Amino acid sequence: MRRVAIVGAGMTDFRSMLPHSSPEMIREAVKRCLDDVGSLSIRYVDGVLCASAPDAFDGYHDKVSIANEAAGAIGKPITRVFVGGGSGVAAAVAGWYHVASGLFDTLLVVAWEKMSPPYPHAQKLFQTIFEPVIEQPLGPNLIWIFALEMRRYMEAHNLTKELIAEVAVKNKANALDHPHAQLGARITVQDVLNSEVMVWPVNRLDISPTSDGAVAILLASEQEARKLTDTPVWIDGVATCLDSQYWTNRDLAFPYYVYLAAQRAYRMAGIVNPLKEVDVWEPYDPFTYKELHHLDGLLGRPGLAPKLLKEGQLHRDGDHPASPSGGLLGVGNPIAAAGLMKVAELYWQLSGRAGKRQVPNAYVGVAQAWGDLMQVGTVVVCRR
Amino acid sequence: MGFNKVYVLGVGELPPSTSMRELDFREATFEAAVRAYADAGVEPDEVEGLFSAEQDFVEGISIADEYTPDQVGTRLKFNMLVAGDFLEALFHAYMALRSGMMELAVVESHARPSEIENYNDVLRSSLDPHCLRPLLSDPYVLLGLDARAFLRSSGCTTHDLSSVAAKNSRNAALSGGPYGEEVTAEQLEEDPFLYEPLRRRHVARFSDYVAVVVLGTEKWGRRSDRAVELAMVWSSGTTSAAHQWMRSWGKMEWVGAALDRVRSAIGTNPIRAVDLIEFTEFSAHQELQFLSAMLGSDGEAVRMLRAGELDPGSTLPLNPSGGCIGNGNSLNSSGARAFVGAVRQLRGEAGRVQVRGARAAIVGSLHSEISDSGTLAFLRTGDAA
Repeated sequence: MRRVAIVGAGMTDFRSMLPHSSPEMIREAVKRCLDDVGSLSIRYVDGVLCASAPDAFDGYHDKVSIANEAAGAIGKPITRVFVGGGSGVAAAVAGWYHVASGLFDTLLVVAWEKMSPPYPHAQKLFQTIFEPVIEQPLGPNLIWIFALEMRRYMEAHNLTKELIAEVAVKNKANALDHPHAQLGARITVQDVLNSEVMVWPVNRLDISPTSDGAVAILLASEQEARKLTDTPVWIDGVATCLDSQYWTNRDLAFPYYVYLAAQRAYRMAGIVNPLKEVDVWEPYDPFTYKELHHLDGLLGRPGLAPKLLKEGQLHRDGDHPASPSGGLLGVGNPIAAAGLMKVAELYWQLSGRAGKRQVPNAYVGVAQAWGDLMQVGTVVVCRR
Repeated sequence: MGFNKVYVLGVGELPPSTSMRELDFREATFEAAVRAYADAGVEPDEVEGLFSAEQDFVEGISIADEYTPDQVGTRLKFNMLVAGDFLEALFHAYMALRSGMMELAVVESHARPSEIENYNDVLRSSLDPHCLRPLLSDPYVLLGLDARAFLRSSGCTTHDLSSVAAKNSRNAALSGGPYGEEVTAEQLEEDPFLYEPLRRRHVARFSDYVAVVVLGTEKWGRRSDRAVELAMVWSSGTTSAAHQWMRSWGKMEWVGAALDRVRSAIGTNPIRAVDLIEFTEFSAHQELQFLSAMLGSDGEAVRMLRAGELDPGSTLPLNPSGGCIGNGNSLNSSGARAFVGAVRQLRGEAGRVQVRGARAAIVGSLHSEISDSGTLAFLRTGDAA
C-alpha cells in the first residue's frame, strides 16, 4: 500500500458561542495548518475532504458549500463525509484512501462544527437522529441513552461513580496545557459527584460541553511528505465499523464495533499487542465513562481500562496515557472537529510538538471516535 | 507501485417511479440490495464495506447512514457516508478499493422526493442565508439564470432545449421511465416558461429511486464475465461557494478537470472512446452544457443535437435511458440511476434502449440541481477494458 503521512495540523480555539462563523473557523484552521507546513500555499494542495456532522447545526442543506471557499477549495475536488460523532476520525480515514489510492498526492482534511446556533441547546436537533417511527415519538435525548449505557457498563464491571469521575479530573487537568481548550480546569472527584445530576448516573461534569471549532490536517504521499517535513507522522492503520441501527438489541457493556474497527486498523498497521505497542491513546470521551468504554474496545479486553485508570496508568505520565490532549471533556466537543482534534493530537505527540502535553517516547498512537446511534467506531493508528 | 483495478460486479435498483410510498425507505433499500447481490453473485457476508450517499435534510433524519447497514447486510463492516450524489460515494468506494484497503464494497443511495413536502425550501437552504436566501423564494431561478447565460454564450435557442427534452422524453418512453412520452420539440415549445428560458418540461420532475451497486477488485472481477471495469472516477470542484458570487455562469468548468483525469487514466481522449453518455441533466440546458464541456466546443454540441447525432443509434447517444427529464430527478440518487443504466448498456441488457455494440460509457452527475460541480465515471467492458 502507498504510505500516507500527516505533515501539518492546525485548529481554532474550541469555545461555546465562538464569535466566528463556520467559514471563518474553517479559514482559521486551514491557515494554521498550512502555516504549520512552512506557510505552504493552498495551491500546492490537490483536494479537500471535509467533515461536519448534522446539517441542522449550521442550518444549511448540503453544507459542503460552506467549506468550498473557506478551505481554499474553489476549483479543487472537495467532498464531505460524516458519520455523526465519528466524523472527525472518519475524515482522516477517508483522507487516507484519497492519498493511498494514488489519485491525490496532498489532501487537506478539514472538520468543523458550529453547535451554538441551535440556541439554547443542540439537544433538540439531536432528536432527529433517532428512528422516526418507534423512537422519535418518545422524545428521547442523547443523555438518556448514554445514562443507560453508563449504567450497564458500571453494572458489568462493578464500577463506582467515583472511579469514573476520575476521567473528568484527569482530562480537564490535561486540557490546562492545551492552548485551544475550552474547559481546562483543576477539579476533584467530589466536584464531579456534586455537579448537577442530568440523568442518573450522568452528572453535568461527566459530560463534554457543546462547542464551536474547526481542525485541519494536511495529508501527503510519502514522496511529498519527505519534501514537506522532517517529522512526518504516518497513518499506518485505518478502519471504521458500523453496527446495527437497533441499539436496544445490543449489549451496551462493550463497544463491539470499536473493537472490530480497532482490530482491522491494527492488522493493517501490523500491531499485535496494542497494550504493549501503543504509546499514546486518544479515545473518544464525550462522557467520562466513554473513555473507558472505548479503551476497552480498543484494547479488546472488557473491563481493563477502569483497572488501568485505577492504577494511574492512563495519566499523561502513566504507562498508557489516554487523552493527553485533554480530550473532549477538557478541550471541547465540536462534534466532527473533536474527532479530528484527536488525530491532530497524535500528529503533535508523535512529531514531538505537543509542548507541555508531550508524552515522552511516543512512537505509536491510536485515535478513535464514535457516533451515529452509539453504533459507529472510527480508528486510526499513527506512527512516528 | 501498483493500484487495484475496480470492477462493477452487480447492480440492483427499484426503478424510478413518481412514488414509492408503498415501501418504507428501509424496505426499498433492502430490496435493491437483494437484487444487487443476486446480480453480482456474491453474498452480503463477503462484502467488506459500505459507502452511501445521503443528505440530512432530504432524509428528514440526521446522520442517515445509521439506517443503512441492516438493510444492505453490512452490519459491523466498514461504513462511510458521503454527503452528495451517488457518484461521489462511488468516487470514495473507488479510491478505497484502488488503495488495497478492501476488495469488495457496496455503494448505496436512495431518494424519496415524493415524501418531501417542501423540497424547494430544502434546496434554498443550501444557499448563503444572508445574501441569497432572502432573494430567492425558489432556488430553481438559478437554473434559469444559468440557462440564460448558456444560451447567450453558446448560440443555442430555446428550441434546442426543447429538442433535448423531447429526445430524453422519447428515450424514457422506451426505457419505461415515469416521465417518458412520445413528444416533439415543437410540442414542448408550447409549454409555458417556468424559469425563463426554461419551459415546464425542460426541467426534470421528481421520482423516487433506490440503487445498490457492488464493486470489487480484479480478484472479484475475474470471476465474472459480466463485470464492467470502472476505469476512473473523478469528482471535480466548484467555481462558486454558497453565495454564488464567483460562479462561472453558463459553463461547467468542472468537466474539463475531470476529463483530464479520465484521459490520463485510460490513455486516450475519452469522448472518442465512448459509445454512449449518461448524465444527470436536471434541466435541458445542462445536458448541452455538459456535452459542450466534454467536446470543448459549444458549437459542436449544438450541431450534434440538431443533426440527431445524440439520438439512440446515432454517433454518440446521450442519455439513451431518458436522463432525468424522462426518468425524474431522484435528488442525490440521480447519478445512481444514470450509472446503473450505463452498466446495463455495457452488459447488453438495456432492452429497447440498448446501444448496439456499447463497450465504453461515460457517466456524469452534478452535485445537485443548482451546483456547478460534479463527478465523471468512465466504464468499459470487453476489448475496451
